[in-house]
Amino acid sequence: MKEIIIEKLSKSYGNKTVFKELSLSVSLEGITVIMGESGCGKTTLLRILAGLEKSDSGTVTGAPEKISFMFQEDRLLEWYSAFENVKLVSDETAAEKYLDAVELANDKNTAVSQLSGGMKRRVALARALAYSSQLVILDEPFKGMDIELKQNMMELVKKESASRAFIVVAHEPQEAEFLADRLIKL
Amino acid sequence: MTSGMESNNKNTLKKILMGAVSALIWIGVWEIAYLAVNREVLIASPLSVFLRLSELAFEGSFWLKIANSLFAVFKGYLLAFLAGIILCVLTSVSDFAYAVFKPFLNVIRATPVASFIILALVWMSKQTVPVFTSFLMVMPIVWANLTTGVRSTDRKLIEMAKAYKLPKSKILTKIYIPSVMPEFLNSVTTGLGFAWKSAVAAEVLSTPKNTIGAELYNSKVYLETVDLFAWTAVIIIVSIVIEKLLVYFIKRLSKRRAGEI
Repeated sequence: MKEIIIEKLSKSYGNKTVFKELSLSVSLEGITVIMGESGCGKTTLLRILAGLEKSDSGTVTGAPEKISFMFQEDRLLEWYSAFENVKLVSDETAAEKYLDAVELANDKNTAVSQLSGGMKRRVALARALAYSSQLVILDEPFKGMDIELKQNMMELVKKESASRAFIVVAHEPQEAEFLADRLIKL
Repeated sequence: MTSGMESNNKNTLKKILMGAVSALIWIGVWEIAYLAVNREVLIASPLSVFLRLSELAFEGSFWLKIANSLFAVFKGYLLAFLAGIILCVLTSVSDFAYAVFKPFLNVIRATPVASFIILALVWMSKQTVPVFTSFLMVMPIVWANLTTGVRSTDRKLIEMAKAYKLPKSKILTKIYIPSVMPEFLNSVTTGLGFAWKSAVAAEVLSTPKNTIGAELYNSKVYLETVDLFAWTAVIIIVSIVIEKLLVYFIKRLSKRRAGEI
């Protein structure tokens, strides 16, 4: 089974130590859910895995080259439509497919600036899924969604996990219970 | 829909009426000032200026002078945009270039336009002075506005683009250019005003043949106050017309951008 090996990873910002000599492995199959208190370094760990940040010391091996990253913030281009935002990282067919999957087919041509918070979140999710990556990292992906929608989106992630690996940061135990093939508590 | 259009038409009519009334009030103030002073060499009457303008409009050289001045303005203006954009790219990719050019551009912005004009008169031909002056006045504005736009571009979006391994060309066209667009459009209108005023000021001092500035200079030398007022009116009218045209094109451009959505 392929996995990402994290060995003796340390990271601090100034005097604040985020984690020290952290060692763990993350499977590149199914869904790995990461939980932990606010500020325990979940996002920092994911950013290091994705190559967006450097650790102070330690090694990360086995991380795939192409990683989708759904950030805590939506990070959408407000001046483009939902479709244009997803197409930015994929082809048109994938953009159509995943906007439909996140139940935004009817709003695909709406400017992102006109969408609600929950809709923007789903555009960011569609973008992460449409990108042809080997690993999808989702940092608090269901923030701002109502219960029914959240359930639908979790089912979508579960379905997608059959073909590639997911790392999901979750706060609520129900999310972890539904999604997790493996659970890591930081 | 129809009532919406009617309301728009009413608003436009109201604006035109208010503009006309406002113009009439100020022409009235001008007429009162003329009557109070009662010396045309100090203040020309609105009627004399209007009649002089009507005469000028039928002289072939009148349009040639406007065209020559406009040509100089646009040459300086376009060169300033070109240089401002290139400099902005350079100072955005290199902190060293930013540190080198920032004080230089600040000095240019703080220097009185007259100093540059007099210096340019020593360096170059009469015809080139207005082009050079408008270039020098507009280029730092373009650079400063665009640099503000680039520096205020959301770093998180750039990070997102890097996470998804977007090519640099896409980062430029899809993130940087749309982010900088409001500042760019602002430079277009602000820069035009500066280009026009500085070029005419340069023409007054360098007096190249057949230009508006040279006519202003002549009216000062021969105490032709009516001509001075008439040519000043020409400058104002041309400036307003060009600005309106630019704003119209900018709005169309913005609508086209919105149409892409």
